[in-house]
Amino acid sequence: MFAKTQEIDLLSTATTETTFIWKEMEDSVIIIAAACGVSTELLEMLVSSVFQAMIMTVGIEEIRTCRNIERLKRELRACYPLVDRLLECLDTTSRVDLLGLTEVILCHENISLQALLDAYCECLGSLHGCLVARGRTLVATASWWALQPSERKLLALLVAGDGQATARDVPLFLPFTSPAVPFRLVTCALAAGVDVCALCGPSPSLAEAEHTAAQCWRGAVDLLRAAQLCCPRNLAHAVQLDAGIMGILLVDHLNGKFLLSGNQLQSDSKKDVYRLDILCTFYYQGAGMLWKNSGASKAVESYWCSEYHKCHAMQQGNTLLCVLYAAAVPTDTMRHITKQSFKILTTDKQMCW
Amino acid sequence: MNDKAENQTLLKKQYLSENQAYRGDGGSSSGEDSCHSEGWWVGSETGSSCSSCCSDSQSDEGSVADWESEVDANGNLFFIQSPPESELQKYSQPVVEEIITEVPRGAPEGHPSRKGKLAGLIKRRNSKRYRHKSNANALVSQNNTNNNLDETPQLSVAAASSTSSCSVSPTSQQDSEGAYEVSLQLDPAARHNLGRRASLAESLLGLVVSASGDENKVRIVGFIPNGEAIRLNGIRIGDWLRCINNQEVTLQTLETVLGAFSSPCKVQLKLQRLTSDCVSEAKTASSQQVTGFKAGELSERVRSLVLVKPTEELCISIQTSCIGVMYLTQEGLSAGEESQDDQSLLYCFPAPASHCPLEAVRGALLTLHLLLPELTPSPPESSTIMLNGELIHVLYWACGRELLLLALPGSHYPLQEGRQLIADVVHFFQFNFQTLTRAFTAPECRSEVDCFFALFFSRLINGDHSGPQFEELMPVAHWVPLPTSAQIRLNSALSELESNDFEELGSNINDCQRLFSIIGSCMYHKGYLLASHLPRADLPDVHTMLRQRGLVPLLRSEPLQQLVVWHEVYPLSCSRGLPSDKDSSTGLNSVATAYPSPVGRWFLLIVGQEWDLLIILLESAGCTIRPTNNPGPDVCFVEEALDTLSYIQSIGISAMASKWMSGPPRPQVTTPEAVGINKSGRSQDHFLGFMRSAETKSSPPSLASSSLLSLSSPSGRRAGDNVSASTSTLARHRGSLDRLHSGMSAGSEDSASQACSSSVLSECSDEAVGSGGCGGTGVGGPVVGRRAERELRSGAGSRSSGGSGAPPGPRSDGSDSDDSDWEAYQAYSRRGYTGSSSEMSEATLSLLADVDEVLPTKLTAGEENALFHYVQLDTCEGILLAPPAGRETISGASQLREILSSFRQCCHNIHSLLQNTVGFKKMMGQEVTKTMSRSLVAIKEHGVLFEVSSSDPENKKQAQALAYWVVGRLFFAPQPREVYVCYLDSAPQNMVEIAFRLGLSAAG
Repeated sequence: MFAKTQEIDLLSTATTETTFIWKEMEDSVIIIAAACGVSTELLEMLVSSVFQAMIMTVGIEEIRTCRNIERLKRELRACYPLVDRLLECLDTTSRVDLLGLTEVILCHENISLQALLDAYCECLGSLHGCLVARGRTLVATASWWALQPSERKLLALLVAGDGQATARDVPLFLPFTSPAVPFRLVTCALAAGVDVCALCGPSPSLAEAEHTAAQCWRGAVDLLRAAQLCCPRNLAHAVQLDAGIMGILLVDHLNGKFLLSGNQLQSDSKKDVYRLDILCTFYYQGAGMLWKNSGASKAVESYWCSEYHKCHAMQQGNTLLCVLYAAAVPTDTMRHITKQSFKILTTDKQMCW
Repeated sequence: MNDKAENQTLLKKQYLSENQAYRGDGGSSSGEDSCHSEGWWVGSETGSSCSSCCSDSQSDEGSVADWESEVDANGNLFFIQSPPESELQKYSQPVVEEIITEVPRGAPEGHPSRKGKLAGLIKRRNSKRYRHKSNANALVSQNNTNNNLDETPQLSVAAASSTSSCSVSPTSQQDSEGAYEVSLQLDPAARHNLGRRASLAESLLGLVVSASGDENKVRIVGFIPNGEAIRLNGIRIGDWLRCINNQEVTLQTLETVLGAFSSPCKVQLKLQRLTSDCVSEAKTASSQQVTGFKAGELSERVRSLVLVKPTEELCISIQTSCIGVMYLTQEGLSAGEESQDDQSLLYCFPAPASHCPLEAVRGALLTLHLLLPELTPSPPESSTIMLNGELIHVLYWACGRELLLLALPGSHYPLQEGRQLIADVVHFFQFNFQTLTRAFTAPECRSEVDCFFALFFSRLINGDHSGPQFEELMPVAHWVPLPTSAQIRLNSALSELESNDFEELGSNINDCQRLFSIIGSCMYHKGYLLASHLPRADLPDVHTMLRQRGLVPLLRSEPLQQLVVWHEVYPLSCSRGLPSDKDSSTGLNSVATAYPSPVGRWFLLIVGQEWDLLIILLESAGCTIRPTNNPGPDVCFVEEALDTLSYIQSIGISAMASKWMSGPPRPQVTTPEAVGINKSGRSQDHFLGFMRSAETKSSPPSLASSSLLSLSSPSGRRAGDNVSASTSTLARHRGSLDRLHSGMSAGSEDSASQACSSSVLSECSDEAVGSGGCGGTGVGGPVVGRRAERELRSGAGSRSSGGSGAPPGPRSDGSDSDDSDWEAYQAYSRRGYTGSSSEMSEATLSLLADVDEVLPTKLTAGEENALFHYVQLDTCEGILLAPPAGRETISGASQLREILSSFRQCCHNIHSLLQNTVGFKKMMGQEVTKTMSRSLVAIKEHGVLFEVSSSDPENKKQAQALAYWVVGRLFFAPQPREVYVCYLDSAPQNMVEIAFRLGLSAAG
């Protein structure tokens, strides 16, 4: 920025409610971000995600050694929709999403779907495969989970964003795994709202992939439909949680995935979004410190009480569960219920958490 | 000679006081007049200050230096003395004997008869001299280290010489052996008239010298106030004068050498700084002085407070620590692009702008400050920059078109702490200098601001950053509530002072218009607030001033001999003395109120003795004399304050406060080591507590009272009784019956717990009243009139009943007369309460008297005390309740230190979260901006559970982690109040209940 000539890096500036950050990437681009009510760390994450979206579109070499600036700008236009979706992750008022984490659905069909997906990827000759329902991951191959969380997030946003395409073949770079050599993202629609995606090399062609998909998934249409039905709740209907729970957010920090559920059998989307918004705010502002372990003391639980609701978060290992309660639930009962729910959600083998 | 001079001075004083009154009425005379009039009295004497009318009387003594000579040209004073080291060493037990050994001030022969002010002053002066001779001490006043900017014309020669030589830093000339040179202006014609016996060194150089170990060396043992030498900062007491104009001097040859100077000239003094092994020698030498000269014995901490100067070493260490401050203006930015740099910079510390880490970025920061308000609703608060690989936080404080920037090292100060810090600094400046603009641009403030930042930054650099701070940064005063009876006595003593009724000064004063009216006072002990009569808005400012002047940390660790501080201030309660419509450029758009604040001036007077500070806010407006120039501290007010302070000490308040603080904190807190023993039964506890609290919560409205009543311990039951007693008459009746009943069964279980609190009270008040009695009749006399007599009577009574007062069956109705303090208190309270409400019965009175018995000693629920720490933050009242600080610094409390450090860090997070709610509720009426997340607007409680594995190698084999909660809760009504607690995760706690008990314990 303007202080650079003085050999000073201006990192961030905060006003009462807004935070600005500046970040120079690869000595070539500077990304500036500003947001209200968002912590500096989250904003830094956004900036690096935006940069990764740029790499994904044009590759790292193009950004590092930019020969024609106008051409680069034209090429980068392709990543604007992706950047927009990244920004939406911070604006939780319309749709709730977490930056850098993959949203998953926990349903009992997952264990059967996993086997089908592995078989499909083998047919395609690809290591990275993933089954997505309405933008949320049902199952994925082990190599897919081995990708960086932010890469996976970008891929998921890419698949979710494009509307009703029945098949896609998108050339892209992987910001961490392969920033210079492009891959192909091949997706095929299997049922309404369910896509299967795979990262492939030059072969096979899209037509071949579609053909393989039809063969592999022919017998699984009912399974897919059942799994897709979980969607607004994102959780198998059979899983019964305490009635006082108004929403849950289950985050796996190590694998970079999360489950967000309104715990409602029939969805009331506006109310749902509001509740999940509270949970997200709590996750960022109240429970985020559970990840940081400064000093000898380690935070393991956190809660807050507002006039209208209560939130409680409990951490065990790499997993954090945030639960939204009605205000009438006593504070100490929350601990109890959270502990129970934690067990229910993470120990069911069929749901593949 | 001495007598003559003294008479002259006294006459002069009388003249001046009358003249001043006259001038006040006339209101026409200027500052020059007063200087002239003084000059007339002073004659050949060169007075230092035109504002302090009595200062000259000191110089003819040559040895006695008092605060009066230390008043600077602005009328400000910072005078501090620390007790001799012998006393300092035993400071763990507060010194009460001081009062006994002291010759009674005011009136030695019994109760003061009505004498003239003149006579009163003579007595005061005599006694004071006695006092000062009796304990040999050095004094250093802050303004000596400053250059006096407004010297009187007579002093211009001396001032010039002092400034010229001051500019040469002694350290720069100092060679490896500690020798250095200073130059001094000598004027034999205008030398100080110090009397026959004064040596030439004293009168010419302003140095008090004596022989040291071997006869040849000329050792400097003191300075003549207002002398030439004291204006040089280089010379220190204990140094050795080697040469004058390269001519070697000994004690024998000194007079001859000095006598040779017959005309004004500049001399070169060569001095030798003591090396460390000589220091002890010097100290023994100076302690052998019998003449009453001061020896250089300010304690290390006091010295660091007072002697701090923006030296080069400090500048260097500031540069390396990435600390700096700048004050910029936007004026002239639109003009020439090239010249903007010098115009926009109004103030900078460390001094040359090139040394300041902010210099390089200030353009960028100023641009941000100008640009961002166009994008966001508010201007920037902070920026984080990386300079040479170091993280620096820069804090902004906008003030109209001007901008204050403060750089702090990010490694030491998290952003949240930095924000509190800059707010504190700004409040300090507004309180002391009215506006930031004035503080940073007015030449008369310059040196004081420099000194402030030198002190501030040296504290930042040298202070230990052992961990996050929370309580110390909030704009609140740490209040220690004493038992009710003590509070009442303290409050009444303060009220009496505030009545401003100085009757003992004689009838003369009735003819004069008063100089000041008192608008508030408060009392500190060991840096903790005991009582405040200040306006709400001013208490935080006063506390900020004490903190930034370093007095709070100082008093927490060591006592003072004497402290007198006088400073013009601009209280917030009087809208900083700014008219509401004028001066919009300062950015303080004070809201137009129905009652315009008076046009006047305000002064803060702080007097201190031992561990105690008495702070008085004086107003000069309305009925008082309109001040001319810069009025210095008025001797009457200082004496009144000192008298009140020693009266407060004599009735045992400070002794009792010391005991109260050194004892176990009330309410009780515990340590992780203590709770570690019974950790085994934890899980069971937890379950039971869980069930119980679930029951309790089913009926929220009766929550607090029911849970209090359901407590199993008898004291808890009684607490409940007494609480309800205060609310309903029916219950009161029952409560009093209950109390009478329990009073009869004196050996019961609950009276044991009362005994500990009340025995502290009675024990130390016995002692103090006894000492007051010994000290003679005049101790409390001057201030307290009738009450003093009463005290004395009761004091005599107590002495006659002697040490028999073994823990007197506290408050049991028959034994009242045994307890001397109690009787006096009762007499007072009867007068007070019957005056206001006559229907109160005897039983009610006694009920009110022993509120201190029902202190809920435990805040947490459950069998055992689980509380590690608590903080109640009341920013509206400006007070904070917490256990005394420094518990974690004692050895062996490593785990507590760890816990408290994460507690404080967490409190910052919780605090900023709760501020959302406060901010939202405050702007309820206005339109809700969209900038605030709607999920955050109603949060009232936030808690975090921490686990810490014990770092103790002994406990490692148990490998049991200690779990503790840090919980913060906001109580919005009637005023925002935050309670933070840190407790062991055993039984579940209810924050409402804890806050309730905490409030109850603060009631007395």
